[in-house]
Amino acid sequence: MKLQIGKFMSMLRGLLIVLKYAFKRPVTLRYPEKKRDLPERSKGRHHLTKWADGLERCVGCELCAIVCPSQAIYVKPAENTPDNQVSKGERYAADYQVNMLRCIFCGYCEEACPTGAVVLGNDYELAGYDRQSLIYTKGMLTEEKPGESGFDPNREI
Amino acid sequence: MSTETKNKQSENIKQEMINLTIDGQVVSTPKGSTVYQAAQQLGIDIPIFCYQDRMPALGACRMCLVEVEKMPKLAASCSQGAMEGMVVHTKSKKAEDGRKSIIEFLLINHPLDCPICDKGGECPLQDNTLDYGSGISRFVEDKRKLEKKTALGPLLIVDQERCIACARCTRFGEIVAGDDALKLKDRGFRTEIGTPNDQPVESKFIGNTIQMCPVGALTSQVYRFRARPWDNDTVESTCTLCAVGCNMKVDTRDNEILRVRSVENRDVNDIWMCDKGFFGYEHVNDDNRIKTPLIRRNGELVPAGWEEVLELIANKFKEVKASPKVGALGGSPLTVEENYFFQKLFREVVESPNVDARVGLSQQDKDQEAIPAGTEISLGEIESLDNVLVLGSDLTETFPVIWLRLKQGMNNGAKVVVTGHHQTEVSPHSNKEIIHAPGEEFAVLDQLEKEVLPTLKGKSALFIGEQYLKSTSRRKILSTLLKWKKQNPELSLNILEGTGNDLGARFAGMHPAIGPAGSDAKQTGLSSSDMLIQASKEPWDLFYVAGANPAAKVPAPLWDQIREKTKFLVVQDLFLTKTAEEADVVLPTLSFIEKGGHVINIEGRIQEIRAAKSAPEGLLSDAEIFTLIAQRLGTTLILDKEFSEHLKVERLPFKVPTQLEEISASTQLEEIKGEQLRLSLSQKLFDHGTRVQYSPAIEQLVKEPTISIHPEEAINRLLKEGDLVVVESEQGTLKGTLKVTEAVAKATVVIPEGFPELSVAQLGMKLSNATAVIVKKG
Ligand code: SF4
Ligand code: SF4
Ligand code: SF4
Ligand code: SF4
Ligand code: FES
Repeated sequence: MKLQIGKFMSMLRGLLIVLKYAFKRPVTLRYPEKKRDLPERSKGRHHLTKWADGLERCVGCELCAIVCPSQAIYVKPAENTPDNQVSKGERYAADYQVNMLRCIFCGYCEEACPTGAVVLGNDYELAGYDRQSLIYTKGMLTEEKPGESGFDPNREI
Repeated sequence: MSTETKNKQSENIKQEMINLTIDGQVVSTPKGSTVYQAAQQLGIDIPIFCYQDRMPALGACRMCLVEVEKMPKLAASCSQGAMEGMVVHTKSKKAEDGRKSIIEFLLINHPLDCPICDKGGECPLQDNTLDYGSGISRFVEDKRKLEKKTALGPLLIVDQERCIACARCTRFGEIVAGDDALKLKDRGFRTEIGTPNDQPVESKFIGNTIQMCPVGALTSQVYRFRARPWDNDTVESTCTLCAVGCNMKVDTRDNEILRVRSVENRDVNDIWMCDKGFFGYEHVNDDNRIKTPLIRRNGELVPAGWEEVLELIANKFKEVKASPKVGALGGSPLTVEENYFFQKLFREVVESPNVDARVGLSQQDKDQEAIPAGTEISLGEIESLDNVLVLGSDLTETFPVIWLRLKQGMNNGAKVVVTGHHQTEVSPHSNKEIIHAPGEEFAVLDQLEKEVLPTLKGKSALFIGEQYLKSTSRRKILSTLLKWKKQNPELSLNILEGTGNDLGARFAGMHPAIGPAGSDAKQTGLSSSDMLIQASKEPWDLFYVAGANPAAKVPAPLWDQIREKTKFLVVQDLFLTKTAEEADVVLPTLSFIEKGGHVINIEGRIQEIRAAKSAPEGLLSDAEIFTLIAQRLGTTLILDKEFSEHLKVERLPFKVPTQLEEISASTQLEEIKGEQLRLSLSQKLFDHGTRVQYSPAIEQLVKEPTISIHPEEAINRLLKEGDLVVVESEQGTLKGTLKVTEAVAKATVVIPEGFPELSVAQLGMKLSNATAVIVKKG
């Protein structure tokens, strides 16, 4: 008998918690109509940023590629020429790809980058209909105008 | 390691030994070794930069500092001799602090631009800084500013800021290659790397300096900014671009070859390679490679499918079966196995005995040849020789890495006597040199027999090269050398001739008189030049050419006749060579980087090549092609078990007879009349052969070919340097530019082989050294 009452009471307690939340504001949002404001340093898709003068920051060193724990990055370097000065110095990334399906958004690549070229932005809405479309190419990753991706083009790194 | 070198080493070990203590461990080491070497014996790691164990210690960088008890200062272990009772600490605070300071000093001016440096990821400076550095620097001043990219020639690029002045590269040129290619200029922080006369670097071995530089100061222009070490897939293989057979690593990325590095093999190449090996692979990536089979339709070569061409060839084979007018040519770039299939396909399926891998090489019959190419000693033993006679061999041009090994032998005290028709890069290093006209070999041998032979003590070797071997007196010359050998049993005979896998082709039986594994051929066939000569005179049914270019090896008018009279010509190659352009069927095939198999080098060493990248789409290897054709004819080509057993030994035995019987014919030397000079054919490492032609970096190292004569002969003929001249032999003429140089013997004209623009083949089919020719104004 005592056991039965105990069971009933704990059920009642559980229901009361449910009742309490029925009168509170919900924690979920009506995505995609409504979106949450993310903390400034949350990590989303990558950007390849530029210096204020428009030159690419990335020098094709591949440190991001080797540090990446999920081997999501592919870099193919090449040499700058006077007619085709892409970055400062002698070397630039002729090809740069991030496989968003593999990326775990750890931010190690940003950490390793000696020039502050690759940065993780806040955009987390990364979905696609096929795998190919989730391999972000250099064109998709590189900001068009310096500072466009929200990172100060004058920052040191 | 060969037994002889082992013996020599154990002799050393029997020498006095000394005992010392390193980090609390006692080690006993031969007298004369250094603290660094003793530490290595114990497996204790001491960081180094300037020390390179193939060269004497220099003690320039101080990276290897250790603490030695009772010594007032830290000692550089690479040059500090080990002494009895010494107590060494490599990990004491004092030693570690010393090394930290050295790294800090080295980095004062080092730009630390690792992110854009090709050495990054495999850089001893990075590694030592991480393992032994302090991690911070007290120097905040500006670093020195120097030239970031000085191109010294088409291969090497120097970043002056990164150089730590360890002198490894310059000492390599002085000590190992003997070409003094690089020089350190200025002192202290102003030190820069340059060449002796500020010209592009002159060397055949510069790839080694790139490999040895402990920082990213010397990097390769070909590999520049292509990849990081962690991107590369590495496969160990063997270089087949000459008959040395250096062991190498091929690095590929995304199925593209990016670079080649050497692999240590004390018996063959030690740790060296030549620039042809380092950079000559580029043709493999070239876009001009043939991509599909081609077939001649209405006079044009047009792409076709494999089915169609193989069917066509198989049908032709049925038609010409057992005809005496069928020939198989080539095989030097093919593996042993492929050569074996090639000869088997012809001997057994087509039933033709006419197989020959020697196209354009000297094609003496077995009697004239007397002894084929090969070496009695292993290449590793060269470094421990006491005396060396180099007879008519241009080592740096034909067997480059043998020269490096010989130079090390000279550093160990070997005396070298050189003879030949012209001076070579070896000349300035020799102890005695005789330059003589072709045909005077016996006078020179007599002189050597009197003056040099009696003085030979200890281990001695004869290296005889193509200048003497491509002579009508070859047999007699060799027989003289065998007499010498009898007098001096410590004298070894080494016959340096051929290139690529020539020895492998011969061993597989691609020789009209020799079957697989050195057996006698069941039926002797025609040599390649006899086949071609016959085909120029009467109708010929079929030629099958694999990896050879006969059109470039016979006089042009003769080739036109051959082509006209040959009913069916099949060519199997990487590129559309002159022969391929005129073929009925062209089959594309694989390069040595894309296939596996065995090759045999000049010492008869059987080595493996391995595929470093996958085959380009739609291409088949030579072996696959032969097998598929045989299948269509109802045969399966398989490697005989007995034959493959032969490939399991390390080195094929090289048997030198004790003497050669005289055969009278063919040793007669042509008389020289009036104005005539004697011809000497020379070889160049960087010639205009197909593979060099499509390797852009080394192609730039090719020097314009010239016809060279001695100044006295030039004056007699009123000729001067740069003149356009005509060389006339009995069988043809050749036009070219004249070079007048004292490097060439009098009464001699030297013409290089391997240049289509100066095709010495125009002078006739069976040229030999000493053929009489006339040189006159063109
Ligand atoms: S965020 Fe992490 S997982 Fe994603 S690419 Fe960068 S390093 Fe790789
Ligand atoms: S993004 Fe940064 S770390 Fe990655 S290759 Fe470019 S410069 Fe190097
Ligand atoms: S270029 Fe390299 S190998 Fe030569 S001295 Fe400088 S650091 Fe040493
Ligand atoms: S010496 Fe010969 S085998 Fe060695 S790297 Fe040069 S070409 Fe290749
Ligand atoms: S390695 Fe000993 S001084 Fe350089």
